[in-house]
Amino acid sequence: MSTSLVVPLHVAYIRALGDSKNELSYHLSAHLRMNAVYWGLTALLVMGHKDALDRDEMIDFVMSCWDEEAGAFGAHPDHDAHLLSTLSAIQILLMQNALNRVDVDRVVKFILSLQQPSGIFAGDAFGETDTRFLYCAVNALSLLGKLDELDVEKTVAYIRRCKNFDGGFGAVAGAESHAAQVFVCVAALAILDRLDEVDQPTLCWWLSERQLPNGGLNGRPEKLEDVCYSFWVLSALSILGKLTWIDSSKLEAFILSAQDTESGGIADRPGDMPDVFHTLFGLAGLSLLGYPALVDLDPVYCMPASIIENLGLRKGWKALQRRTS
Amino acid sequence: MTDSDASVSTCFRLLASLLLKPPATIEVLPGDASIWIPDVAERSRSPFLFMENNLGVPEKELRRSYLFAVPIFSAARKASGLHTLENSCNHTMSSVIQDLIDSSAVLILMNPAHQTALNARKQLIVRNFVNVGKELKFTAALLSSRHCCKQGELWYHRRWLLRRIYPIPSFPQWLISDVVPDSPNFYLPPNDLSVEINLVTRACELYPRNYFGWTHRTICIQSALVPGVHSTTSDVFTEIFAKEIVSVMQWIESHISDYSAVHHLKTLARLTEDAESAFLPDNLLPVFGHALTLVRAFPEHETLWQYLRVFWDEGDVATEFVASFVLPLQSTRTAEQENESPRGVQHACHFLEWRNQRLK
Repeated sequence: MSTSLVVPLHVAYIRALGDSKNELSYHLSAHLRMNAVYWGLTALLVMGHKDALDRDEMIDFVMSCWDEEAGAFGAHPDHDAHLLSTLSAIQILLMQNALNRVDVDRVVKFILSLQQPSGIFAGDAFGETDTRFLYCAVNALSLLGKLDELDVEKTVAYIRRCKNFDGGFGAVAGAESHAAQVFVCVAALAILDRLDEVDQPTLCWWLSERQLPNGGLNGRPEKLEDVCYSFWVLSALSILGKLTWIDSSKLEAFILSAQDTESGGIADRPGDMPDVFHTLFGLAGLSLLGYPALVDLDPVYCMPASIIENLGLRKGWKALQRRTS
Repeated sequence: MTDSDASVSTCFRLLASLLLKPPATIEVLPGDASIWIPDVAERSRSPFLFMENNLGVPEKELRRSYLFAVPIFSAARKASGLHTLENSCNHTMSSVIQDLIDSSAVLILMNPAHQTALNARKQLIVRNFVNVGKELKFTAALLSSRHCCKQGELWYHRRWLLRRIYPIPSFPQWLISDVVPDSPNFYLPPNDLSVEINLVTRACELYPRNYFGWTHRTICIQSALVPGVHSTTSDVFTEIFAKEIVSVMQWIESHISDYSAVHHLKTLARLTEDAESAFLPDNLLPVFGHALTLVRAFPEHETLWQYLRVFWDEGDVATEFVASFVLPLQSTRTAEQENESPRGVQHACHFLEWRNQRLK
């Protein structure tokens, strides 16, 4: 049980992730490798340890995932292009100051080709639709400076159709509210300056009800607490200016208790095996909660706030004041 | 090739052929084959269990086959050129195609979120190397397995197949379309709708609160209501709808933490409003009373209070319920800190706040 953040251990954990290339777990996660690299890099940046991973190697990896046929990025060499991996690639290159490596016109064409008549986005040419992919599209276009090419009304109209009775949003119109889908819809609306579409009191209430007696947050009623909701729920509340609606010290204690204090990394809940996904989102949550010595994170983009500010993309979100100790 | 390479290769091909029969159900069994098949001779013939069309795959065998399949898939995907726009595929490619069919099946069993493997199977179907009806059965078998049945990509794969089997007559097939009430992408005849609902029901027993399972169910109901194929006043539609409402209400009674079911019921209610049929709302009349009964019986369950809110009907019955049940419950709150009270009391407090907001 830890009451403080063991930064050096988490840095070492992330550095070691690429070492286990022969293990099954490495192969089993190939389909999300690009996302994993983004999670690892962002986590290091939040901890102020950007140089812990080799920049050139990382850029080479990203470019090796370019799908020339589709004009976008896959998750791994010889994996099909997808919006999820394309967004992660753009985010990584931006954080590594190498966005000039991207063929922007082709990527924009790929992204826009995936919008459906209803306004939702498919993830790839095979057509699975989900508001997560809508967020990836809006986020990526925004980071590339090409948001003006998007049909904003059509996109917003679809998000509106996903709004449920409880103020939350689901994966598609008619689907149940889920905190991760709430994040992607709220963040997309923030980028598009359309937060007026959100039923704020109702949604913020639903979000605050995700906090359980142990301080952790869940993603839907009566589900278990999970560290990743420290980001999905918290970032939505931060964007809507209502971070104070959850008990921050209890949440902080919960996240810290999910750390692996021997080998580093953060797990979904105390006692479980850590992974890079929960490591990032635990750190992201702590950053938004004002945990000392962490770098400010932009909750809309889940990237360092300074990078987003330099692009002129900062929106009106509010995190808790960073404590000095 | 060493003996052990040959043995892994044989097991891989055997597993692929068993998966592609396809079986009725698939289960990944803990440990290795020696636990499940003690007889050495039998085990060397096949380390997999196959009884009455149910396949059991020891986890260690699956892992070995998976690692073997990874480079095979990668090579076959490149060699086949299916993921490019090439249309040529001559007969010398048959072993490459077989490699693609076999390796993608094994990859998806262990890793049902493997997008590229799922895409390869779609491409194989488009070019008629894999039969769409068989793939539907293969997907059903995968969805009988706990780690598979929660994956959104697999449920979507199934809907992609359904769109090929039951396209909307007037709908251009090249147009990928997601499902909203005004633009369905396939229609489902009643028998096939039952198949889908049974699949989802089984998946939700295996993996409670199955998000993508319930979403699939909602989309399938919507697809059964496609205008022009069924009229909203037809007997068939009415029967489907009435049955679905009863079925979901029963599910809620025996799964009182399952908010996904409550949400699905609310979506059905919205569909009846959209359908503008005079008959249908009657089916939903018992729902409010149902919610009241369940909250009284199990006040510690957040789901049931949400059920109440979602179907709340302000009137005499509602007022009586608040006075006789909710207010007394809320007044038992003794703890200073709200979150130290019993859950039922907390929910009652939240409910009253919610109601007061609405009444303003």
